[in-house]
Amino acid sequence: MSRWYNESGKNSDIILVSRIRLLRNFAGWPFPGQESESEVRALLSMAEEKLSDLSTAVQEEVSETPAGLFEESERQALKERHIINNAALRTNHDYRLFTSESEDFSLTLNVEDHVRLLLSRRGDCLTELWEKISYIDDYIDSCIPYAFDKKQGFRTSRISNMGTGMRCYYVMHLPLLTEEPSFKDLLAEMTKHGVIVRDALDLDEKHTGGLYVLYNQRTLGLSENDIMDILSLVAGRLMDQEKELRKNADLIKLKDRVMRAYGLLTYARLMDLPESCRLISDIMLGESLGFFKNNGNFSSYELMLGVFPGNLQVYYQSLFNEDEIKEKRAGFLQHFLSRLEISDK
Amino acid sequence: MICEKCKKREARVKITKVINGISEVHNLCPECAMDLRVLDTGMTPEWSSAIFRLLSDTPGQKNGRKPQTVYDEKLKTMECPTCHKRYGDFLEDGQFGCADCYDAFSPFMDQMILSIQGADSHTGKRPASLRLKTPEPKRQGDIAEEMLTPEEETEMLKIRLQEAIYAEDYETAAKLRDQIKALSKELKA
Repeated sequence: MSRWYNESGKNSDIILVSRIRLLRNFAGWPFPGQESESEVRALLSMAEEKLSDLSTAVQEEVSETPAGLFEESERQALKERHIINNAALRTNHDYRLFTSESEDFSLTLNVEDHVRLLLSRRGDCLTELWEKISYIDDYIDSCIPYAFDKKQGFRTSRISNMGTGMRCYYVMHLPLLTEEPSFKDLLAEMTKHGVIVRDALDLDEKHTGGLYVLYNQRTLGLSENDIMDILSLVAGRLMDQEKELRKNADLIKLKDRVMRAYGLLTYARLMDLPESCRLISDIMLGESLGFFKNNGNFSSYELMLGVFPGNLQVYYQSLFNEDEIKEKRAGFLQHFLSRLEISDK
Repeated sequence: MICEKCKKREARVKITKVINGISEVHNLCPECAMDLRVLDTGMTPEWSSAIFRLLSDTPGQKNGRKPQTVYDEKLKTMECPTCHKRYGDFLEDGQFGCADCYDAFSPFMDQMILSIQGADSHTGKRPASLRLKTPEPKRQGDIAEEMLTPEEETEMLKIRLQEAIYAEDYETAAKLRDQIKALSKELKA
């Protein structure tokens, strides 16, 4: 089955991804970290038994991976694809991970909170995601009631998540806007709206390829719709400005930039991570401007995820040292880029 | 702003006193506020000062280090009766041990929640069991609705009104308010 990040969606050339995360805890159970070993075992087996109908609620086959089973590089790959978070990578107690076949949905049980629900899709689609995730959320609550307080909302293990337990994300591609002198001020303004903007790739080098992740800072005192509205508003403004810049840019300069990236990616034999991300960003831009025809069943966003070390090792099903990774990365990119056809329009 | 009591130091604490339903707002410096708190709440000076030290932005606190005083040590050993997580451990890792910790540590939580979230009340989704069913449009022969006495109906409308206000759906709230008014007139007549 094709993975969610192969698809495209509304405005997905700029709003690469929409994602919603919900945190919940079961009533009457101590939170993860405060449980005894027997409580962890009891909680996990209780949850596994009661949530047997999860696939029906998700409307897709959902399967379980026991935490102990997957290898270091597989965990790293899951982290790189944003299915698990850092807390799950670091945790030293048992937890469970359920993912749907297309990987758009995941449920992590017992990491920092009992329940971490995650739903992602390409393009601008928070409202649709909310409808679906809220339905799954209701299903879980009907099987195992959540800890909820009428005044303070859903009980989460951290204050920063209390209330709705909701974090909405947009991953945005803003390669031209990033280069504008006014971009810094724009980012500062986002903070005033309660929207946090971060580098999406989280590499040592800052602002690689103009990929950003936007999310809501507050989870309390705002309804889920408020949170989505604010984020959509902010993302919409950023998108309009990026579109405007693309429209008014010198076409031959843009084309030159994109083709240089294409040349390097097609012929280089060793690729390090930041460089490949920068170049893929240019390919993304080129695709959005119609410089390429994509004859393969892949998206340039998929390439961006694929060049990270964990994903590369899972893709090739073996472990590599640092130099080997650079070589494999170059090979991986050539394999996919050979299916991009340059369209001379 | 200058503290309205000592008129010297900067007012960094806002205290709202509610006496017989009338609220008064005072802008005070932490020192004067502390005196006031002690008088008003009957809290011991130790607790009071410790709480203020927790709430005021002591530079060390942001890095997870707390000023080492007797009072803080006493507070840190306070634990949640349900899961036995200590308040001190909560300050270290920022994680509650269970849902009841919110209530167990509540004297220190309000300010912390406000400063992190900028709000103190949940306005979003509730679990299905706490959601009021959206009333179906009234159909003929709808027995459940028909059998309500005017008093019961008023009561039901009041609950819906509360829900509407809670959801900030003022349009619906206004309609419900008018319905309630009309019903109470009917009742009086």
